[in-house]
Amino acid sequence: MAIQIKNLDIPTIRVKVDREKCQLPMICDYKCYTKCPQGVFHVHSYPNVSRAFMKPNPNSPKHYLVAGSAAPKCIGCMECTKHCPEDAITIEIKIPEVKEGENPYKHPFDSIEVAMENQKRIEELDSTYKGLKKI
Amino acid sequence: MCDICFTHNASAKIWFKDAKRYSRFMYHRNRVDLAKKNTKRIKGGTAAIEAAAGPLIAQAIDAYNLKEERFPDLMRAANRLHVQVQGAQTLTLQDSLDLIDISSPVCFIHCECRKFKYGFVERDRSKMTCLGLGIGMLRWQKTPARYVAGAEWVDHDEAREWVIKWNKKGLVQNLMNFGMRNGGPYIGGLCNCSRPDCASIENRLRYGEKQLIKGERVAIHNEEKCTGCFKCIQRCQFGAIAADIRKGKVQIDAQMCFGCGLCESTCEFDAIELRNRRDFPILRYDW
Repeated sequence: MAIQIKNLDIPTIRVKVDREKCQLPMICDYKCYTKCPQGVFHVHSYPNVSRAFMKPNPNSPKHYLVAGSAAPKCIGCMECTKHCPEDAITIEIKIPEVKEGENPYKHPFDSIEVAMENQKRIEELDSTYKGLKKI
Repeated sequence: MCDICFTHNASAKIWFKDAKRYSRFMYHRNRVDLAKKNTKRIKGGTAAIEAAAGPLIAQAIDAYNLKEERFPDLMRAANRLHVQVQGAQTLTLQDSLDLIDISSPVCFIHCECRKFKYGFVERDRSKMTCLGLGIGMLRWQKTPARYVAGAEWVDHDEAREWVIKWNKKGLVQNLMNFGMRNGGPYIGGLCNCSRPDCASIENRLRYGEKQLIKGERVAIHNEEKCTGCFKCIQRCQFGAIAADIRKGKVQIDAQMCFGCGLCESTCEFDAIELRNRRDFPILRYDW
């Protein structure tokens, strides 16, 4: 039995799909669903349970809904935002606080000089991702 | 090691490729130097701190079974102690070959985990799974009362072939470091580990204790190339790979992945790729 302690060092993440932009999931072939290596996205039928008896019609635009329902699994590889034709997906990350003189990425063995050098490279990399929001 | 070696690799992007971490200077430094408030040397040197680590972990494991409220506090204390006393990190095969290149002298030693768990000491040179790096091994040879099988000195070429042999058989390469000094630890060992025997893998996966931290890389797999032969599932020691029956393919949980690269080396279709852990906004905090 593996146990999981709630780890406060890891940032919390939220995957948002804009329902107004993402209206034609059949046309893009569920790119986010197929490209995600972690299986974050799920496809639901759009009408709620109350209308579940409605006759399914996969070609109607509003019939299916893509949702990032398993967001804690997300690793931030940004494949979904890269492939989404409508730019409907945003990924919000809340970064944990760092004390002064500490390694910003909580690596126990990294010296601070190495960490700062990596940080420069990482900030450049993050600016190339679209749909990434840091809170 | 001369002054040139100290400065040679100082700007390495990965911490364990810094040549300073293997040097005589680092080995002889006072270990207690990290607690700057009491700079005087503890009696018994390193053994005193190591002796404190064992009971603390045993307490934490007991608390997990008996008193659940005390478990998180004890575990946090054990984690802090492990960073200062002894830690480990998983390596890829290429990184472990680089590790052998940097350090010298090099020798085969018996596995300490198997000795503590089963009282089993390997004396056959061809079956030894651990490699001692650097100057600390001279002391290892001197005290046969504790280090029973002694040190078997080898060339660098033989050591390299030996690592490749164990990697093919499916063991994970972990580096071992001993004591934090001067902004980083001293690296003194390279182990070939398997899940039930290795104490650090077992403690990490069972109790969440961070003696072993995750490697610098992560395995990301390409669904288009994957054919669903499921050979990689057998190789993973950390239980990160599962069969996705809906797609008839494999799924790798990157949050469980330690980045050892065993799955990548078996895949015949190049469907698995090792990427830098720091490129992912979430995984770069998850060690």
